[in-house]
Amino acid sequence: MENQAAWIISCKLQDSGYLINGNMGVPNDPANRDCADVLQWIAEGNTPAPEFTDAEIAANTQAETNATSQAYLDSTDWYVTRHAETAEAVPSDVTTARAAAREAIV
Amino acid sequence: MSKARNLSLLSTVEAGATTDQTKADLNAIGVSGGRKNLIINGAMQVAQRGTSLTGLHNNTNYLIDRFSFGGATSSVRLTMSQDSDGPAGFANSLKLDCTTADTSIAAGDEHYFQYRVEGQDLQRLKKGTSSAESMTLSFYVKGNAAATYTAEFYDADNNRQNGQTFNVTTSWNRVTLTYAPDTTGAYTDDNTIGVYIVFWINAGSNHTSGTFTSNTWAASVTANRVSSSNTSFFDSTARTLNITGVQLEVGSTATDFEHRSYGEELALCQRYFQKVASGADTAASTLGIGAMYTSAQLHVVIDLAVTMRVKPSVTIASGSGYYIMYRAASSDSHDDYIYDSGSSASNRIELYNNTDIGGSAGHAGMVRCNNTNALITADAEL
Repeated sequence: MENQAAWIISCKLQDSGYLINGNMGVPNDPANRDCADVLQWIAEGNTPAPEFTDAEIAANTQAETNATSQAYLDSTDWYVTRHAETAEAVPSDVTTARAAAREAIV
Repeated sequence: MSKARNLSLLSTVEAGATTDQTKADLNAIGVSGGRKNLIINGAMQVAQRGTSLTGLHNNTNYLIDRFSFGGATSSVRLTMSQDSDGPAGFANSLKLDCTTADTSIAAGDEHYFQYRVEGQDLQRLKKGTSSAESMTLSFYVKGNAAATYTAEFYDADNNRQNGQTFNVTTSWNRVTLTYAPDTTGAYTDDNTIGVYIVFWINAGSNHTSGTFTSNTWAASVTANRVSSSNTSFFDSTARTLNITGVQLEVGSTATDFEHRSYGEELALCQRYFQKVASGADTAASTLGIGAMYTSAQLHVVIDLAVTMRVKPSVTIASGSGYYIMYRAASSDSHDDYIYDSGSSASNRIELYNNTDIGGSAGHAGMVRCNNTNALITADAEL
């Protein structure tokens, strides 16, 4: 018989389903044929990998930090522009926070 | 045929006549009963996934919508494509082309293309009741040389089978196979597979060594499923097989093929598979409106073209800058999405990105493909 699960090369757990072969999100619904294949794959003795490895958790956390920090810098650039054009000082708390944001970006 | 004759036939129908001959007469005058064909995309018009797949030999592979190639074991290979060859009135066909032959078929080899029907769409056959209907499968086929293959109905709900052989020549010919009614085993009225229509193009002795009884419903026995006269499609790299005009209808008469518009067929196919967005089809194809849930998390909710059979699987192509969000008079490209299947349904899906996007929480914007390789598909095939 055709092995319906043979196409599964990798399987990761997700919040409400599985990530198959790195690019297919499969809902946890046995009526979905891909989910049925995943359940067969598990029944054959395979185990889905956790959603994220430690390295991926660290990378995702850093990516979120980068994005948040960059967004803060973008949203406060006008202080710097105003200072350049009018000599009005950038508030010290903004200067401190911008420095922290720059430091946080890797 | 005179108008008087036509009116006479219509009167007969009004009186409740339902004989196959009356149906044939009605077909002859163009009154064939809409939606008679249980097969979607029987004219092989719709091919959302592409037009050619190479190196096929195992697993289940879809190319032309609703029709799949499947198989197991062996070193053989074939190419499946949407071909422009067809009988008069058909612009497309499904073509199989052997690219790696094997003249020593192993016992466990099995290769076929097939069509799967939901149980809820088969209720008109009244299977499993004393008034079960016969059904007629018709299709046009053509090969590079004469061949004999097996067309089998496999009842997935009751594990029953009924097969018949058909012949292929080097010209387009219409094959008509009427299958006996089955008073045993009703199809479950649900959205799962009721029947597999299996066109066997290669089978080892595991499937051919028993007693193949043509046009007879019986509990499934693997050794009885395929005729021992079945040609091996893989006996030569010269082998080709084209098929189109697949129709399944109630009764013992094969009426004219029911042509439907491309738009109708596409919509019917989208219940099972749909391209959500494709950068190749439209360079800046829109996904929809997205919103920043946080400064680093974008969510996009997408209405599907039609409600799908079940909550779909979603495949997302990823690559540098494949997608882009325009908001607050600026843009932010990003590489991919994660499918939030828990928040999705059969008519709507939700995607998010929380790895390479930044912005202000609460901002909304247009989300688009930003690369010709960007592609998001939803699959709820049987």
